[in-house]
Amino acid sequence: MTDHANYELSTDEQLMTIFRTPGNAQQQRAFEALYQRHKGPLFRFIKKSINNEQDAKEVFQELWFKIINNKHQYDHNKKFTTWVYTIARRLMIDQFRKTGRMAELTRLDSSTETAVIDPNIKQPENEFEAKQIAKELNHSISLLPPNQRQTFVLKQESGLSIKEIAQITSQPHEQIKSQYRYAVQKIKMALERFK
Amino acid sequence: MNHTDEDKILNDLYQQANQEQPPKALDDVILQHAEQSLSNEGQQVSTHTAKNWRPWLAAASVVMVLPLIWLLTQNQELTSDLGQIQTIEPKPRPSIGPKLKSESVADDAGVESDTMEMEAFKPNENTAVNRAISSPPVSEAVSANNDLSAIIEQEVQHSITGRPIDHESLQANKELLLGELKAKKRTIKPSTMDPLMALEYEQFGRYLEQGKIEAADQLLTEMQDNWPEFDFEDMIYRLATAEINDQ
Repeated sequence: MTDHANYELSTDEQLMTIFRTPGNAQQQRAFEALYQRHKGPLFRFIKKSINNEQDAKEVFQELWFKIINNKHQYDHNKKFTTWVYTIARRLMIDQFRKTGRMAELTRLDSSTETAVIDPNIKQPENEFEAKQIAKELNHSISLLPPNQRQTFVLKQESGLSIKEIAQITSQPHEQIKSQYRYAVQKIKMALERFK
Repeated sequence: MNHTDEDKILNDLYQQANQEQPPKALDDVILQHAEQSLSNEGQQVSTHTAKNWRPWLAAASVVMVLPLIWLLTQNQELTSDLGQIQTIEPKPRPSIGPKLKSESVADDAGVESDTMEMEAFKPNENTAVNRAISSPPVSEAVSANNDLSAIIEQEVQHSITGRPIDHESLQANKELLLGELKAKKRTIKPSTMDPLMALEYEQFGRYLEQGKIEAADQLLTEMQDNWPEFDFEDMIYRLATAEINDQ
């Protein structure tokens, strides 16, 4: 079995252990495997949460630099994704502060109090419809309140549970659950016309 | 259609609609940073390894400096010895008292005057002249001797660094070092014992076997007196054990 195949089978935590072990000849390869695995989800999470491509690129780069520079602070008993998405979220908050968008981030989701009808959604019937749905889906995500948007994207991209997202965002479990539920309802409403 | 199915459809839709990756330029920058970081870390590891040698180097320095300190403690004796050597020439020892000094000077003066008398009969004028030049008058010799003894005394009071020597401290250090040297006694082994000691050692063992504790104790005391350079701890322990067993 080749190294590449080995890395594909390795868990994030195993790869991180190799990467943070000084003198290990496979450090760079382990990092590359980790990067290939998580670069897409992290980039999309940051980009969708910030809603600004240039800022997203800066935060994404800073995030990976932090992972590289602070690899020894990683606790291998914890999930890599929990660690890395926590850092990402902190960096995004910093970015919001820098760009004066903190008010936007901390704004309460007024819509969370509103009862939303739960419409049905269906699979696209053809490629054209799939593209239309994808466009509408991403547009509806961008219109979500920041907290709901972040929770929804984090759930989709990281594969973390609601409980883990609550840990990362330092918010109560129930609150995160509500945010996610409302986000899903709003997206479904936006996609209602494709029924 | 239940919620779980709908969530799954939504997930699938999301995944299909979102395949965006970071730009290649960003990938390159990040991977290069990782490589650079690991390379720097490797250098730090080697520096750290060098740092690990520091305590050993410090210990080695101490080991090398200790004999020097010991030599310095001998400085007083060396200087005294030097004083003695200088006294062989017409120079008095710095430790000699005023009375002895004057006697010595008087003796020297006597020798000098005798030499002068003897040389008066010698036909070689050059020799006489040389002696006259090399031998100062008695008063000058006394003065020179006094100056020299003062210099020597001054030298004795100062270390090679020019600082005054603390003789009490020197003495204490010397005793400490001698004590340490004495403390390193030889272990009693067949290869280190002389034949008589070996015989007594065997006898000691026999006394213990026979339960003759007092005889063994007496023999041990004699052995300690006769061979003080040996470490009798093992024999003392054997004796104590035998005593306990005997009781």
